[in-house]
Amino acid sequence: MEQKVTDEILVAYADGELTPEEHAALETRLAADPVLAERARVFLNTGRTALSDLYDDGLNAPVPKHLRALVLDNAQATGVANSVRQWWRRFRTDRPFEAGMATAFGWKHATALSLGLVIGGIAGWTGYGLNQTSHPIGSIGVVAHGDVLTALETQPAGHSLPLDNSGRRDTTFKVLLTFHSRTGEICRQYHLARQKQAQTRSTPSFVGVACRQSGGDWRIMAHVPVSQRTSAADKVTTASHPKNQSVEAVVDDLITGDVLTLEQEAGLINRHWKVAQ
Amino acid sequence: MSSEFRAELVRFLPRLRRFAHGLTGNLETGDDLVQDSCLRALSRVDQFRSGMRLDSWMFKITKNIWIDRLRSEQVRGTVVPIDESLAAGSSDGQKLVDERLTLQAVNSALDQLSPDLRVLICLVSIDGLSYRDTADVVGVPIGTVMSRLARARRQLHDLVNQGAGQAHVVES
Repeated sequence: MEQKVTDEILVAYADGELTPEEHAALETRLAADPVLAERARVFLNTGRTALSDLYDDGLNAPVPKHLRALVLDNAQATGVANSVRQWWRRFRTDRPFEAGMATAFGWKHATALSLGLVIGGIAGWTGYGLNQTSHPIGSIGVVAHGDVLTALETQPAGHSLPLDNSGRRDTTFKVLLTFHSRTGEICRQYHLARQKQAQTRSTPSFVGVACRQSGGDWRIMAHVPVSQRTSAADKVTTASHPKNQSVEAVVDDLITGDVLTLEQEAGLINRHWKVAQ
Repeated sequence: MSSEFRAELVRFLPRLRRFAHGLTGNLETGDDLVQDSCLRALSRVDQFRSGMRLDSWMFKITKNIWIDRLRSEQVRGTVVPIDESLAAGSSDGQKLVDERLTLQAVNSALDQLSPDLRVLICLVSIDGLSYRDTADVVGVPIGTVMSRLARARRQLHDLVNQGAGQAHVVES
């Protein structure tokens, strides 16, 4: 009496995991038994050849630069990076970059921005860093993508942009300032906050610095949590935790020259971050 | 950390990306997972002993992070965009359409499998890992790999063929 051919045997046959003897014996039975052959077809059609080919385009595509750089130059794979990446996930979008966003949040909206507010913000932020010792500067192995990348590329300083967080849009991203780095890059300091429904409540918030690489990636140079307190009275958000000092120290070490004016910043955005000669 | 390890990890990145793509359903999210995996691996490189296989080690790390993420977020993706990379890699217009439909159908079907079964499909059917190596990655006996894989493949076949008429492209 012939042994029953189980699904386990058929899947092993489809995947080439049987011994040559087992394989040959099963092929003999498959040739003589159409019902068995039909059962085997289920596993052959979902086997290595059928499925791996579907994903080979990803396999053959160039590895993104930031992943290569992460492996080859991972100087600070620290808890900070973990924190950053957890936040990036919130802002990851499965949508491709939408050119329309630049229009939707373009400069006509930026005219409502108060220059005084920006300058005041700068003064407040940098004030925390005045007495700090320098911190090592360098990428923490993360580059911006999704909505955050879009915001860094297109948003003027001071404009809060709701990020699409699983459709809830409960997180805002705001560029605080833009400046040239000593190594010739354009860098932007940002503030990232999640909104809460409660009138007064501490909420998770981060400040960080991203610098635009020659290839167009925005590399995160620093990203630290701050305590954000929202006043019920005036809805003004203030960053008031000393932890943001480290970001300010990073800015201090990176910056050369003055913080860019809104006009200078607008010019760079319009030129896709190409520095005028 | 040895430069040899880093170089070997870089060479392995395309396979890791394909595995992560299969797990997450799209290349961008997959790259996020790859990034996490590499960071974790680099931070624990002292645990990588001589004689260990990098692919098994990295697959294990990636699988664990992905399952942890599923548990913590309790999210199962439903939207499966077509990766732009697919368009870049195909020159035949009709072939491109067929591949997209099939990839979309398979991704949708994979999304309906349990995480454990999806991992198996990605390791065996997409990456081509042997049953023995797969058993090592997922930490179950090889017989369990076979029985789970049989269940997974049957479910996958049924889901693909139920899901859309175009899914028949999978048929070889």
